Amino acid sequence: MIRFVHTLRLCGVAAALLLTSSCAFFETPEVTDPNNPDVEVFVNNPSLSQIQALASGTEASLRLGYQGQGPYLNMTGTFGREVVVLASNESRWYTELLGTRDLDNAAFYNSAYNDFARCRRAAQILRESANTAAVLSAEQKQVTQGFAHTMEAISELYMLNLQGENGIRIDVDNPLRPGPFVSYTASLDHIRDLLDQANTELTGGSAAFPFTLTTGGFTGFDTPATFRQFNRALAARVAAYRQDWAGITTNLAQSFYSETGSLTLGPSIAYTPGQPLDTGNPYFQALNSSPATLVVVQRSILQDTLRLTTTGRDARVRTKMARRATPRSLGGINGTYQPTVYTSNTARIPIIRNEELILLAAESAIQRNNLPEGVRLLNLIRTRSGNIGPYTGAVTQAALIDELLLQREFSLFYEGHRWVDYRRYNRLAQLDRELPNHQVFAAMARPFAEVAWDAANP
Amino acid sequence: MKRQLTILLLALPAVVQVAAAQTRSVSGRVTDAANGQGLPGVTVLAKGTSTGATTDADGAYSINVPTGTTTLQFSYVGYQTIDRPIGSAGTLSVALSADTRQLDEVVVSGLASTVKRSNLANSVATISAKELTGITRPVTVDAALNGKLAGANISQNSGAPGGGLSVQLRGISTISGSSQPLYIIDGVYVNNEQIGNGAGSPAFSGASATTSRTTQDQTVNRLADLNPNDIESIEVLKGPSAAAIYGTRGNAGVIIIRTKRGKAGQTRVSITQDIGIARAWRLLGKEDWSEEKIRRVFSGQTAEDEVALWRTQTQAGNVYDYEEEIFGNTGVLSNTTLSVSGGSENTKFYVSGSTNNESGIVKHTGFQRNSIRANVDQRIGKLVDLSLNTNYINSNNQRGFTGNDNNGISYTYNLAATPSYHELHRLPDGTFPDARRTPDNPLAIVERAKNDETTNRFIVGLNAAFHIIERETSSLRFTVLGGTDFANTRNFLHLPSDLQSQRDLPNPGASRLTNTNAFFTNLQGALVYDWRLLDGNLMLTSQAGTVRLTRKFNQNFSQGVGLLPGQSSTNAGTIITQNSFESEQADVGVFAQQEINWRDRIVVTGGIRFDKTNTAGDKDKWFPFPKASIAVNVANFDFWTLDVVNVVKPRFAYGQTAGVPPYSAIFSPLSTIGAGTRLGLLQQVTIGNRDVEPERATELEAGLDLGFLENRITFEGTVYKKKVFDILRPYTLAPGTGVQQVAGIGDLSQTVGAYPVGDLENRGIELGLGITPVRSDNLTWTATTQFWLNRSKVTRSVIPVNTVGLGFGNTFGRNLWAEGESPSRWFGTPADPNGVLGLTGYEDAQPRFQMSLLNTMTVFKGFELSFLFHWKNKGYISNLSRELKDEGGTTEDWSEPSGQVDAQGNPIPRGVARQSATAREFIQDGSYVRLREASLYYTIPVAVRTKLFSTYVSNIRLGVSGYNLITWTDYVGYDPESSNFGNVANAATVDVGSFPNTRRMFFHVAVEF
Repeated sequence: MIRFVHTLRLCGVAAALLLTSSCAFFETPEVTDPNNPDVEVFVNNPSLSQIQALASGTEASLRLGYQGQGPYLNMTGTFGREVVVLASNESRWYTELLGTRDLDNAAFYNSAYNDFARCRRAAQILRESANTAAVLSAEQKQVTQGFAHTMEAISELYMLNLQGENGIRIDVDNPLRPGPFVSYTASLDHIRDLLDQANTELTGGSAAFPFTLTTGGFTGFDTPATFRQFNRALAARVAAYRQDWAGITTNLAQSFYSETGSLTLGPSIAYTPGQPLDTGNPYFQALNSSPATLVVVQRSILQDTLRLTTTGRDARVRTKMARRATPRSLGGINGTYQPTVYTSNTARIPIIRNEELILLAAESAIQRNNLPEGVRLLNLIRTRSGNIGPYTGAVTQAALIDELLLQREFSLFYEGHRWVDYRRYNRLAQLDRELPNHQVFAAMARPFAEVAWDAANP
Repeated sequence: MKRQLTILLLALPAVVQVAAAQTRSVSGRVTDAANGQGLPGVTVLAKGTSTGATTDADGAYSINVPTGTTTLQFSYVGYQTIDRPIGSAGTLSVALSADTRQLDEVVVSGLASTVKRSNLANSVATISAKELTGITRPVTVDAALNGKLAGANISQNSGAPGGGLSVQLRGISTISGSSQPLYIIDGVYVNNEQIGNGAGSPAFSGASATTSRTTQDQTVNRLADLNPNDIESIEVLKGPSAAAIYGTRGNAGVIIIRTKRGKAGQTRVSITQDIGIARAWRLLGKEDWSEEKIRRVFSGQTAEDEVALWRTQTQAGNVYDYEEEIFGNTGVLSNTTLSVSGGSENTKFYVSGSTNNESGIVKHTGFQRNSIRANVDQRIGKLVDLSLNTNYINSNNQRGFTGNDNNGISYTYNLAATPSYHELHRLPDGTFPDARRTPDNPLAIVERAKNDETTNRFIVGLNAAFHIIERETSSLRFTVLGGTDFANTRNFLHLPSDLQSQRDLPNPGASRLTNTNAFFTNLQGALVYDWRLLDGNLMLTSQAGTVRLTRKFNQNFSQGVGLLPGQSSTNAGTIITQNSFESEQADVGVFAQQEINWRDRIVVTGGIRFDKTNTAGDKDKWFPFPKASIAVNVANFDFWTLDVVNVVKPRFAYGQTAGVPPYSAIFSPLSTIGAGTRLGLLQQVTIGNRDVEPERATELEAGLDLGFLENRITFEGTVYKKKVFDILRPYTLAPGTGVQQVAGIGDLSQTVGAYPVGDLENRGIELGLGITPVRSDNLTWTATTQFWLNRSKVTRSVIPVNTVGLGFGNTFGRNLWAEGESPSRWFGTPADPNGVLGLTGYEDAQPRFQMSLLNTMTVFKGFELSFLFHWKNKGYISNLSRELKDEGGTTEDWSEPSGQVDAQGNPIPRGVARQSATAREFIQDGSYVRLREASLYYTIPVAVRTKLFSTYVSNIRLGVSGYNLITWTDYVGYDPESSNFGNVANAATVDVGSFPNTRRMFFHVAVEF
């Protein structure tokens, strides 16, 4: 009996141990994300500093599409035969992407599409979030919308550049119910509308944004009035893509277009690798270095330098490419020159700059058959940018279009244009197929996840 | 779990207790029928009473049996139990034979109870120490299970020292969660994470674009910390029907490990020493070069330069086999274990210290493990049993860099592109020449890069049983089981700033120091009531209890790039980044279970567990997990008269389990992004699911166990159907929206998603046949054959067809989540208009079947020969290894004609033709037959031993053994088990530049005192 009592006592102690801690024992603690802020906190009545963080995030996210595994400039550069990526550990850069196989819609190199979409959504979250902010005046909300809509437009334009005739989705605010893909033309029209809407919003609102843009990248374009000039510059580019030749001129008039101003004037993506979580320019390669992934100049660019009809060497050729001490040869392709467009890891990547605006003005003039004006503007580029003599060829519309494309090729080398230009002028067939099994692609494949979504949500 | 075994043993006699009267003494010796050695720790029971004794170190026993007792029963785990009449003599010696079927061992049946194997209604595999490590010494416990466990798909992801193994039980149990079983060591729920260290991140091999921990870091899983030699037995609950009592942690199965314990009697000291070597079992070879070949691979000026170099190097005889230089070395393996065990009736102990030291086949790689264990059992009075199990481990590895790579760090990548006439050897001034064709010189990487890991770990468990009521027909006990597992892992990665691949970077040199703390706890309390009705014809066991489990995991790293010359500290970096990740999980469960046993003829069990977890959207929601099972021992019925068949047991079991949602599945996080001097916030590409619930699985299992000729032939057959409902997956959205999926991705957690996307079904068969063809004095031969297969299929999908697994796209093969398809099937180029999403369908990554054959022969008592063959039939792998060498022109058969001709009619060499092949070339058959383990041991006869050492030494055993001794396979690559992405939930592995797997050979000495 004594033993039994003893046992009960022990049992009691044990039970008590459990009971005293019973509340804690049965409780599963509430989980809040210990590692990251939650988006839900931000979309309801954000503070000024929260709006600033979202705006900075939107601005910074534009660079995502320029880095990652399929960086925008290397993709457009490869398709447009500006550069070849001789990656010693990834042969698909100089085989598949040059056309030895069809494009893979699930491969690593499709990343830029998703990255630009992410920038677009960041702008959307900023705009939706700002609309709920009690701290903002109606005018401040309005210019924030203008900023966000411009960023959305530019993201969509880059996505469309990659997708070409596939078009893009334009109704994407609700990720669970995205709209269908629309044609290339309809996509461009939508981008124009977005830019126009932003233009209106930027015009009538407060004099300053309720947030600050990065020093460097947007210096000079960081108020609603000056940011609007950037917006109009983009509208001029879109007008050119839409073959709205008169529209180019209208938009340029309200942009930062300047025949005397610096050719590099314009907003850019800035890199300050020393700052926390910022990065360096991913396209910078030290001269003669041999990183695993080496970008070299495609041979047709080198051949085209002969077409510049110059007495001395074109300044653009001199500064934008350099002969390598040790060439790299992979898969039957020789890389003797490397691009030197981005000279350090703090070099900026222009989003749109004055030199392109002058070329757009030239294009508008030539297309509207104002050939002397076209020649004048092209000469402006030839002398100011190339430091070569004036144009001496035939003054016909066809010849000037050839000349325009040649000037664009060198003025905007490795800035993402040649492929798009050749496509809109139906000249892809003229691009260099270096090996017999190469082909030139007109567009990237529609990403696998997009195809799958449409298959399941007809 | 061992605790419960003892509890049951203690409880059973209480149930059958009868009043004791006068006694008489019987003594004798129990030996192993195979070798005549004394068997310590054998339970000797006066049948029909609770009186028992245990044999001592030499197998001797002495027992006072009540008069009237006519029979003694001798039982020992792993041996057949026998009954012997006492007769009139005062001595009784017996020899026990090893039991391949182990019908009399006890197996876990509830969180606080066990059941005799002969009454078990589930297929629960038990692996004894003898089966696990008795043949040879695989480096880790999971490696030691390979080929021995029907229903398991085990593969060694990497041949690097320390392993890294994937164990998947009964097919695919999740797509995004943890596919690895729950491991419980002596009642402690332990950590088996693969702790990523960032070796695959852009600053290092660049295999992945993720800057934190990546899926391509190729680290070991933490089970590598456990010394296999400490293990007494392993029980494997393969599916939900057996694992239902583990609720939300049971989906991938449960592996219950019991370590060795002390036995009452003389103190035993045992020393074992193994010395061995490891060599790559296969190297891929190379092809030398000719002028013609050089011109084919290179072009332009490069070709001219290469030809010139080739001429001078060839004339000077400087043609090398770099693969042989890097992977052709011999690793030295050494294991030393010292254990002391013994104790009195009230206090028992087992203390062991061990050190394992393995050097890898690549210079400067290796694995070291030092472990100290103390297991102490204390009985307080007659009513309280306590046991404390403690284990401290220090485990280290140095793995180098292999596998996928984008930066030119991985040896395998660089080797594939290095022609044999290039000069990479260290110069007289101590520096390495630059590689001409690869971003770095692989010999320099071997010598100078670092990928090191150190883990310090404590696993402590305390079990207590309070015997509250001990009556003739009933007993009640309260059991408490608590455990903690704490591990700190420190990873150090370093690439010196003057390496060729680093020099040209904007910020040359990289170091990363990662610290990971994992802290797991478990606490369980249960009441167990045993009662006996109808004169013992009906035995009931009831139990109810609660359990609480927590897991805290935090990882932080600091990384410096742009290192000052000669510096390796992360502080010496120009750009220093850091990141931290924390997670805290808690699960609570309550359970109740009832077992009914009618005369060992019909055994019925039913139970239910309710769990809640804070990883679910509703942290307070209880999820039920019912189970039920029945086993009928037909041969125990009176009508059964067919003596030749002694076991006929049909059995059926049903159960439910779940897998917890991935941590952070409920969050829609913003991440930080730098914008100049400002910090911006950017939404991640996944949005959280606030309604997430655990993945739930049900399993219906049916089986038939047969035993013939007193179990000289045994058969066990099981079929199962395991369905996993509401599989959590990233719900892939149209990425053009800027959101790629509904899910939750934590930076450092595994890439996970959490939207219920559909159901998955696994169906399989497991067969086991044990035969003892010969059982005589001079030869005992046992043969165990196992056969198993599994088929998986998506039965319901609510999302668009999307990618699962981690393949490299259509060209090399990928897996799809699509209704009606297996998630482990490969798809790829060329386009097939009728295929899923226009892709050609290929074979499945899961084996068509697996089979193993274990033979053990004991000859003339002293010699023991064992060998284990393991056959994996089919099971396809996406293999890029040959592609790498084809691109580099180094494949052994590169120049041989492919049969194809180009436009000019010139033959195309194989190495060229294969590069433009479809996915057919890369999705390769991973079938193999492996002599996985083989050994020959010799036990020095007693006479010789006593002559040499008198009685100071009680046993001496010598032996030789091997692991992965012979492999027959058509697979092209280092090893058909390789996995670039480590553990892959859908079992579809990718081999790209893997670390070669090894053949291990040992010499063993074991001495007992």
